[in-house]
Amino acid sequence: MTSQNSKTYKLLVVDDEDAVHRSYASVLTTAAKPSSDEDLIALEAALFGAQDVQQPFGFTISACKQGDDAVDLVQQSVALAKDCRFSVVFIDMRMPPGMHGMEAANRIHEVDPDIKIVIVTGYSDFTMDQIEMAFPPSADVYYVQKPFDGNAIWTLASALSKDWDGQQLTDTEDQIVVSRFKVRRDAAA
Amino acid sequence: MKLVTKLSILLCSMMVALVGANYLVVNATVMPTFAQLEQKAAKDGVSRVIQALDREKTYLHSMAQDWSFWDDTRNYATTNDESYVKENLMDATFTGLKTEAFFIIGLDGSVKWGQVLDLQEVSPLEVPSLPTKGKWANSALLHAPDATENSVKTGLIMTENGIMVIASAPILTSQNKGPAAGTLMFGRLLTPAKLDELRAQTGVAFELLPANHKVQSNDGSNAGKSVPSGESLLVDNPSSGTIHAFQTLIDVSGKPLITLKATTAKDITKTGQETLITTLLLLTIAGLVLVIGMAALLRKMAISPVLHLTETATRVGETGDLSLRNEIEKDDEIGALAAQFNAMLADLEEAKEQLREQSYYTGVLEMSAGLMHNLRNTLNPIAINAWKSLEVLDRTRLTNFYVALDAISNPETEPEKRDAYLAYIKGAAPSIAEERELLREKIAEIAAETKHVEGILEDHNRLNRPEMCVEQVDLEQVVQRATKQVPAIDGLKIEARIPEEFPLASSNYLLLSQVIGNLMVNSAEAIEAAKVPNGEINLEVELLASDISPRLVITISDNGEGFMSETKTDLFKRGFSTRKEKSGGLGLHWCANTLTAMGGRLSLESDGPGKGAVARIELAASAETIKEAA
Repeated sequence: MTSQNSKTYKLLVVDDEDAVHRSYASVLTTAAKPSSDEDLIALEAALFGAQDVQQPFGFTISACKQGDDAVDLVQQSVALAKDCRFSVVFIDMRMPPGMHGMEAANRIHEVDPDIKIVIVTGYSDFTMDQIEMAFPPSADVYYVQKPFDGNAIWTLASALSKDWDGQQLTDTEDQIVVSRFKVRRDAAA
Repeated sequence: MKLVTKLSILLCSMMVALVGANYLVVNATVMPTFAQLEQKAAKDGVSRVIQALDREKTYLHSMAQDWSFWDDTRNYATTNDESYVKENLMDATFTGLKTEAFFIIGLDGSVKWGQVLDLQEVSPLEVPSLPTKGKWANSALLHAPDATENSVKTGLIMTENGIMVIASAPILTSQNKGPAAGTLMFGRLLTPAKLDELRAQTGVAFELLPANHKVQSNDGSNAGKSVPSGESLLVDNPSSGTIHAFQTLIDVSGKPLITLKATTAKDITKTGQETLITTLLLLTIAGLVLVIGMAALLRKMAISPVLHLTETATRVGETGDLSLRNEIEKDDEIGALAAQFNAMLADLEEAKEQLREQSYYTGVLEMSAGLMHNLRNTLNPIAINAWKSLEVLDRTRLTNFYVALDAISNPETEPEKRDAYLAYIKGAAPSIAEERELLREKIAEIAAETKHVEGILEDHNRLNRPEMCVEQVDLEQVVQRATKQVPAIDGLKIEARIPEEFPLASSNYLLLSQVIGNLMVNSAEAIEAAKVPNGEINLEVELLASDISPRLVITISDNGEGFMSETKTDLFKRGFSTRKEKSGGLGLHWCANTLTAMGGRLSLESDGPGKGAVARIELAASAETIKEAA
C-alpha cells in the first residue's frame, strides 16, 4: 500500500504480453482507497485489534514490449535525478520480433550499471551458467521462472529497490533474494 | 571449351611447333653446309679440268724432251738429214703419239720440218697460225741457242682449229748439252672428241668459252663480273638446280685464252631437301601417331575419368542426390581423387542426414520452447489472479463480519459494543460485497486464461500432427538408418529382408526411422538383458494387397527376454520401461502415437519371458508405386 508520504520506486517491465504487464501492476500497485474506508479501519482496529500494515514505500511501473524501447527508457532515465531512475527492470527472454531479452538486459546494464536486472521468462534458451557468463561480474542479475507468484515479485521489487537505494536489507529479504533468485550467487556470497 | 578440345589443340600445336622448329633448325644449319659442299664440288670440278689439261701438258712436255734431247734430232736440225724424217716422222708417229702437230724450227725461226695431222682422217691440216713453211712469228715458243734442258715450255695456244696444248723444247744433244740447235714442238688439239674424253676422265661437265666471258646468272649474283684467272667464280642457278664455276685459262704468253665453265648439279642440296622433307614427313606421321596415341591414352587414363567425375559432380549439383557415386576404380591420382570425392559425398550425405535429424529435433525443441513460453506466459495471470484472490481471502472482512454478527446476537454484549459492532456490520457489508465482486472478477479471469491455455494446447496439437508431413518412403533407406541406432552388442546379428522393387510406404521418413530404430534398440536391449549369446533381430516386410487400401506390414522379431502377456498393456504407457537404466529412447508410447498419427498401427507380441518378442508395424502403402511395381 502506498501512502502519500511513502517513497516511490520506479520499476521497468519489459514483456511482449499485455497480460503479463497487468500481472505486474496487479502485484506491485494498489488502488487508493476512499477516505470513508479510514473510519471503518479505525473501528476495525478498535473492535478486533487488526492493523493494516503501512508499507514504507510504493512502486510506479513503466512497461514496454520490446528490448529497444526498454533501452531507450533507461537511457532517458539516467540523465535524471536518482529518484526518477529505474531501480529494477523485469525483463522477458523471448520478445519477438525484437532483440532477445539477454541482449536487451546487457545493453540496459551498459547504460545504467546500477540498475537491478531480473530475468523473468517462461522458457529460457540459455542455461543458468550461460546467463551468468553473459553478464559482466558487476551486473546484479536475478532469475524468476514464469508463472511467478506475487510474493516473489513483491519481495524482489521491494528488496532490490531498497538495496538499490542503499538501504540495509533484513536478513529474511537478503536470504530470499540471494538464495532463490540471484544468478551470481558466489559473487553475492 | 572442353578439356578434350583443349588437349587436342595443345597436342596438335606442339606437334606443328616441333615439325616447324625441326625444319627451321635443319634449314638454318644443315642446308648451308650442303651449299658449301656443292660450291666446293664446283671448284673441285674446275680444278680437275685444269689438272687434266696439266696432265696433257706434262705428257707433251715429256715427249718434247725425249725427241729434242736426242742427237738424231739435233743432227737433223743442223744438217737437214732426210733420213731422220723418213725414219721417224711418219703418219704413224702422229697417230701413235696421239698428237696432231710436230715442228722442228731453226734458231732463226724458220720451219725445218712441220706438220699438223688430222688424226681421225690421217690427213694434213692447214692451220694458218701454225705455218709448216717459212718463219714462225710466235717467238714465245722458240728457244735461243743458250737454252738448256730446263727451258722446256708447255701451255695452251689458240689456233684456227681450236685450243691446242703445246710443248716446246730446245734441241740438245742426247746428253742434254747445248748449244741449242733450234726448237722442237709437239701440239695436241683439244678437239670435241678430246674434250669429251676429258669430261669423261674428270667427271666434270665443262665447256670452253671465249676469254673475257661475262658471267650471266638467274639470281643476279656475280652477274656481269669478269672471270679471274687464278681462282674460280661461282654462280648459283637455283632454277636449273646447278652451280657454275668459271675460271680464265691463260696461254703460253700469259694472256687470257679461254674461260673454263664447269657445271655441277646441286644434287647435295636437292638430296638434302628431299631428305629433309622426307624426315619432316616421317616426323609429322610419327607426331600424328604420337598425338593420336597420347590422345587415346589421355582419354582413357585421364579425360574419361575426369569427365565421369565432372558428370557425377554436375548430377549431384543438379539433382542434389548425394547418394550418387563415381565408378572409377584406378590406383592413380584420379582414382584417389574419385575415392576422395566419393568419401566426401558420403560425408555430405551423412552430414545432410544429421542436419535433417538435427533440424527435426531443433524444430521439435523450438516448438516445445515456444509452447512452454506461451503456456507460462498464459499461466502467469492465472497464478497472479489466484495469488491475488488468496490475498483478498486472507484480508477479508467476512471473518470479522461474522464475529460482529455473533456479538450482536449475544445478549451479554454491552450496548455500546453492540452499536459499534452494528456500525461495523453496516460499514463492512459493502466492502465484503466488493471483495466478493473482486474474487468473482479474478475467478472469471482465471477461467478466461484457462480457455486461453486450452487454445494454445489445441493449436500446438493441430500444428504438430505428423500426418502433416507424410511422404513416400523407401523402406530400404529407412531400415538402413534405423539400424545405425542399434548399439554394438557381441554376437548380435541383424538381418533385414526387403524384396527388390518393394512398394514405398506412405509415412514420414525421419519419424518412421526413429520408430523402427527405437523398436530395434528395444530388441537389442532385450537380447542383452536375456544374455543370449547369439542374438538375432530379424526385420521382414510384407505387402497386404487390397484394391482399396494396400498396407505394408513390417515385423521386427528378436530372441530376447520377451514379456508376459499381462504386461502388454503397460508397455504402451507413457514413461513405462522394464529397464532400470533407461536408454534415453523415445519409448513405445511415443512410437505407437507416432504411427497412429501417420495412419499406421503398432502391436507387440511375445510367447512369454525368454521367448523373444515380435513388433508389428502396419502402414499404408503408396498405391501409385504398387502399380509401377506390378
